[in-house]
Amino acid sequence: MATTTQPGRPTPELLAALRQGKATLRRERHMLSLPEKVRAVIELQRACLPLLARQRTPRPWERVWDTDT
Amino acid sequence: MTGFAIALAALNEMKAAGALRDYAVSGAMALVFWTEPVATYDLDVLVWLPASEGPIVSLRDVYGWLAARGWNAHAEHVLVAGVPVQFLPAYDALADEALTTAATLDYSGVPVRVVRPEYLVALYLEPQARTAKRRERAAALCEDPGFDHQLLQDIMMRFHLTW
Repeated sequence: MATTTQPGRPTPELLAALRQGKATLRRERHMLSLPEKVRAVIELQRACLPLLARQRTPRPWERVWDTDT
Repeated sequence: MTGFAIALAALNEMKAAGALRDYAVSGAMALVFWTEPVATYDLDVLVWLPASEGPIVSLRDVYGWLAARGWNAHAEHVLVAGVPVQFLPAYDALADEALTTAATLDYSGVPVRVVRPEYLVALYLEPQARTAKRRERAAALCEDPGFDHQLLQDIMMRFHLTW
């Protein structure tokens, strides 16, 4: 019987560091100024709308805001 | 002034003009004010409309005020300076309280009333509003260090809400 090589697993330390990094990212985004947050929302709209459009037809209001934030 | 600030300023102008009695930003954009940016496509605004003669609530005057400035309604939204805005008349006692207790924040020099995070969570937990996405957003709000868990407990008890 052929044996399969198990893929390498991340160490608990690496997993903890990755999770910590995610928490840090969220904390940094939390600390953004309000105009920076609104700019981030518009960037998220740009990123998410094509993904949404692959699942269903976007509703009329589901579009990237036509504003310079 | 940027488009988003123009949309917020329009809310204040509507209140000053009497087209609205009061308003508070709610929904995902209110969450953005309190926590981190999330993907959302519209600006939800909880409103009290001026007293009407009959029991039927109508957004006609709100839409009319906006249309006079070139911002027209499309289905349930009005595109104000590039931002789709949805006006939601306060629909129950919890919404009234969320509006009454809203915080006044500053966006690029524009004062804006925003539903407090504890009330946002409570609104998300109302039976008619509960979705997986909203519960997730409610949980994110609760993680904020400044979140008042005691206040949320009080609101949940008074309005018979559960997780």
